[in-house]
Amino acid sequence: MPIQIIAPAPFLSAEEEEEEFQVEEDEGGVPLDLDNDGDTAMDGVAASKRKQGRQAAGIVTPGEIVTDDPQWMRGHGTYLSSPTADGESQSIVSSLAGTISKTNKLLSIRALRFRYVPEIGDLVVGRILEVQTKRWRVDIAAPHSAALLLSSINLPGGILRKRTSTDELQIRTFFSEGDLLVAEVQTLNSDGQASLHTRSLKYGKLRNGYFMTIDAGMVRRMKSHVLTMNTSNGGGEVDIYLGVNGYIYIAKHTTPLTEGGVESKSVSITRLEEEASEAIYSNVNEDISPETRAEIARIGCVLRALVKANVKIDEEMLNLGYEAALEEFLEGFDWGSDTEAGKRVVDLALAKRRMG
Amino acid sequence: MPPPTPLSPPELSYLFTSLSLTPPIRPDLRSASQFRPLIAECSFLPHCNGSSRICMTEAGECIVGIKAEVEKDATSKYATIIEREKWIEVSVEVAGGGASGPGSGVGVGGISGAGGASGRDEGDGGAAVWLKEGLLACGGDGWSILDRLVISKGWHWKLYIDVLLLTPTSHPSPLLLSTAVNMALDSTYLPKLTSPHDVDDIPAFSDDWAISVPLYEPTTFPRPPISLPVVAIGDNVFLDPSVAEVATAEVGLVVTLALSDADGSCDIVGVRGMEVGRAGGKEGDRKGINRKLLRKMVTTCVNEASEVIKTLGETTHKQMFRA
Repeated sequence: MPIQIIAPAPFLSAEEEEEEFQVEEDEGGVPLDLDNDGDTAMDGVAASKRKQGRQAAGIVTPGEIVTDDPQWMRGHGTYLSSPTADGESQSIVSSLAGTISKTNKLLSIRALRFRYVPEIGDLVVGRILEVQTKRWRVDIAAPHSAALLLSSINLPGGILRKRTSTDELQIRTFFSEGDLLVAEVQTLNSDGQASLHTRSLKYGKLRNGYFMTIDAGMVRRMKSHVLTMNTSNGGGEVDIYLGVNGYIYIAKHTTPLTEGGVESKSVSITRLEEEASEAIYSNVNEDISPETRAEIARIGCVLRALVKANVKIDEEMLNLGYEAALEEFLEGFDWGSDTEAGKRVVDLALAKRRMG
Repeated sequence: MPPPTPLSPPELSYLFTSLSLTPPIRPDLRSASQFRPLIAECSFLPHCNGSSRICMTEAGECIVGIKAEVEKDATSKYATIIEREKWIEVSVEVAGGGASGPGSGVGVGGISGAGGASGRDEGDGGAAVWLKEGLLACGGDGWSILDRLVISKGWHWKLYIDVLLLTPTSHPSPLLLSTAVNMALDSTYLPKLTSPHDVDDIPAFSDDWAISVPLYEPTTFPRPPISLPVVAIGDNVFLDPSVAEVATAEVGLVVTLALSDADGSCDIVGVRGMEVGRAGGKEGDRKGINRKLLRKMVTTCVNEASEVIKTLGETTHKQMFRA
């Protein structure tokens, strides 16, 4: 079967919708599922129907009136409608598409999908959008593109060196448009625009691997966002850069250059630094075996399957998912042609986590 | 819409090497001729003769509505080919992408040669041109979709095919547009004529939709055409390439095919070039295209297309007659 066509989720029938409207009428707007004392009143039958149908209730769209009851306070994702002439109370209107969340008397809307909001100290994977005279503009999936200053990268010839005009002229030799890099959010300005830095040997240009994106918010914040995984089937070690912004890079594990290989004995410290720094900005991949490539693709598929099943990604989940994928692989399944495969892997991984 | 950011050189070289291995390793572990699953439904727009909605990962979502209008032939006796071709009007619109009409949808689907100067002169651009082209060219032995549009002497149906792309930031694949149009055409029904065929009077139609006439008879051939994107990387040929694969590819084609008989053999209706990336490897390593590879690309499409068109047709009919 070269192609699989999935029928969409069924619409709610008119009767079912009518039923829901009757419940809502006294609220004067969108279903809040509240009775007067503010408790959630969930009708069992209606709730289960909502989950199946495409028009899931509880989801509001921008401009939709959430409530005109003055007892509620407006929270994030909402605004007050303009006051009416006859002195009626203003209603709370949603400014996002998402679900209603209530904390005591505070109403806020949690968006279904959102962009990444940078925070200081986050490890992010980004792509260079534009090269300017003294800095780069970097796409990090945030509302604003981030800035990477020439002074906040490792310059060749010593880690801590003052930047010179020669560096400014050679700015494209470090990063040029389209390059991928891993960096840390250093500062945020008042609009929430991030400024990045790569002043550590952990950060810098990304090579030897495959880039993919998932929804921001699907990566759980962890102690370390650079994972090294021992893969089977002769894949060797694989590094996974889980950017908090949902950009992910999966690459063959490479030993950091400054730790040195065989040559480190014969080369003086300063010379080594110089070589290392220049190699940091190289655009040439190492030799990567087909086995490693297959495992990198498998990890990518595991990540996609987890996201599709709405499971947040952390180190534990990723390891379990990979194990599950390997077990399924031994049973001889073909990931590409079997759309259920991803779901099975996730189920297996979740079962494993429950067992501990 | 900003142009998609190019991939970085290490990324391109990684993908290029992975995809030119034997067997190739696609980033999503698909086999070379495997399509990505898609979500499809048809005949859901109430005021259209035929409609469809297709969702694809990465390529986004697309809605097609087909409306038919009764029109008097421009010339009383013999309609010229150019006039007859105006009986079908295709427009591709990108939601939030501004004005529709001439020149809209230029470059949608990344097909080169469409939407250039010649495309615009015809009053429409880009994707609309090759979609219509495939439609008109479809069918051998003197069969043409235009013959089905004739109502009676001096009267014909004018078909408006409106394609709306709902996700402007995505990278619409030609497959998305052509499957959507294919499904919509397959679900198009026209009112049954009640007045005699050979009279010049204004035609009259039955208002009973139960006896309406399908535009494409479900059991006869040819079926509506479908366009399959195919790229070649090294000596490997890939169907339904992802955005990254298109960027890595050395050559890309969009092959338009139509099912010609019940055994599943396909007619090639048209072949167009597709814009692909700069190809992996260094400038000097590029090989250029040889005839063998082109042949392989087209035959791969022909081999796989029948299965795809059949599956699509089955889904359409299942949804049409579910009530």
